[in-house]
Amino acid sequence: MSKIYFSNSVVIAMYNIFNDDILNVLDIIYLSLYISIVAVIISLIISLPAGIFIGLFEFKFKKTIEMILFTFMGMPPVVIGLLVFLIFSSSGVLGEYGLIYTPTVMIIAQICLIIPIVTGLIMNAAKDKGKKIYETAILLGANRIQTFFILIKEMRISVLSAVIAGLGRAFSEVGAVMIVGGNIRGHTRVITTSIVMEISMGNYKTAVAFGIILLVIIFLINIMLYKLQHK
Amino acid sequence: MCKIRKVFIYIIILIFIFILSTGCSNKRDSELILATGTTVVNSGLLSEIIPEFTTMTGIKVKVLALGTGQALKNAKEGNVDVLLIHSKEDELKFVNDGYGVKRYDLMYNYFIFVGPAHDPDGMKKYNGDISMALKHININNIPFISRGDNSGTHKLEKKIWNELGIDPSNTNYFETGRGMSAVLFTTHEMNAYTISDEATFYSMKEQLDMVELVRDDKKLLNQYGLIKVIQKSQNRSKESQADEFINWLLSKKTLRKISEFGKNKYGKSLYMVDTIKMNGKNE
Repeated sequence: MSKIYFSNSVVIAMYNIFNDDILNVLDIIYLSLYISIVAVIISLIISLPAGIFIGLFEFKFKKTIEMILFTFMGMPPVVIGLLVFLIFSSSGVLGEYGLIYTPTVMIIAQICLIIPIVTGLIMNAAKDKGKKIYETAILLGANRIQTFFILIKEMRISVLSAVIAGLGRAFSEVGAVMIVGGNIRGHTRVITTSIVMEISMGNYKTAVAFGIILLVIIFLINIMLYKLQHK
Repeated sequence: MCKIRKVFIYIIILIFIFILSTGCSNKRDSELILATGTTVVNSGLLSEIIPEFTTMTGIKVKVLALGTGQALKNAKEGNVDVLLIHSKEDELKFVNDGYGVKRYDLMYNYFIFVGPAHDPDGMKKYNGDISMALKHININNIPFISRGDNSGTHKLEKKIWNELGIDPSNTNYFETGRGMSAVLFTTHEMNAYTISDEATFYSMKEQLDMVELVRDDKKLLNQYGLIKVIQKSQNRSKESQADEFINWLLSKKTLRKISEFGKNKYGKSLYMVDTIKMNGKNE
């Protein structure tokens, strides 16, 4: 009985959050998507060349770099959030730019979180099958830039997996964006921080409703990327 | 292959033992759950006075620092034994609705209106009149950080806006939905103004480049209430422990301790108690 009541009331909560304050909720969803997607794109621009380079070539501190990369993969988001906060807070090194509590600094924190994962996954893919593709491309007379794009094209399944992993982490992240963003309504509030806030106010049903929205969006993104991966 | 399977089985057995052992040692009879607003925990009062109670009676007190809304919700669901919050209307409603046994006044202090140390908008002149201060903030679109989380502090702020008949939302009105210390940090970073309780503000003052600007207004009284929550599952031993805890908190000795908390560190007490109660006429 109570279970039926609960599922009903979550539906009602869902209806309510869309009905009462539709602009606010759309704002929150939009900001979540914006921050995560921009962070993943910027991370890819850095991670693709870095991952392929580390994966393909031998150099002096390769093992050390790999180890640091794997350590950062397990770094708790709140620690990254704290570090970014300390750097960008008004008394921090980059405090003069006034970026704290803005979406920009949230993107920066997300990038710090995503880069290790995306780089690591691309590096493993490059280690696995990149060498052959690289040698073939060179043999057929491709220059460096052409080789780079051939590598990405041939490893696209792994690259898209890395994108999915990165987006998942960015989208579901709460600790770091809470610290650097401050969960300010209409400015830096995203879906995950809304969930934490609704829980702290005792509105568990609204929190569940936000959770369902988050899940649905991640599911839709995954469907799109999956289609792209298996084209 | 066989080896891997063996290791795997061992790990599963270990996990089972771990789960069972934590399940067995879960003695819940000599502990009490106290839910309270973030302000009392942030100021450090509870961690200073509660150890004495534990050594005296052997009852462990688990403190849950929640927003007032979440604390009330948790208490209604029976997860909490004693409530210590600061939203009088909600507290009385909670008792009247049959969730709590009785409500006691424990201690009080005042809310203060705080802002940047150099006070760029000259808010100091509104000392003694919080309504005018907030009106000035709203009309001139001065940055103001609101708790925005339905906590006791936020409810007081909303009450003042309501009395003024002003809808506070404008481009420089920021709702964060977080605890008091997080809001104070945000205010400090954004060179804005906010309403805080005295205790949290003074316990953090060293880290903030901020001063108190408006105080001494009757509207800013911050009364903390203590409620014994009715136990649904007829857990008699818990109820008597809750009684013991409440009686200890309301005893002369503890009240004196509360009234002296912070005097050494901040030069003034963070909480005040009813002097009549403290000096004898208890009950």
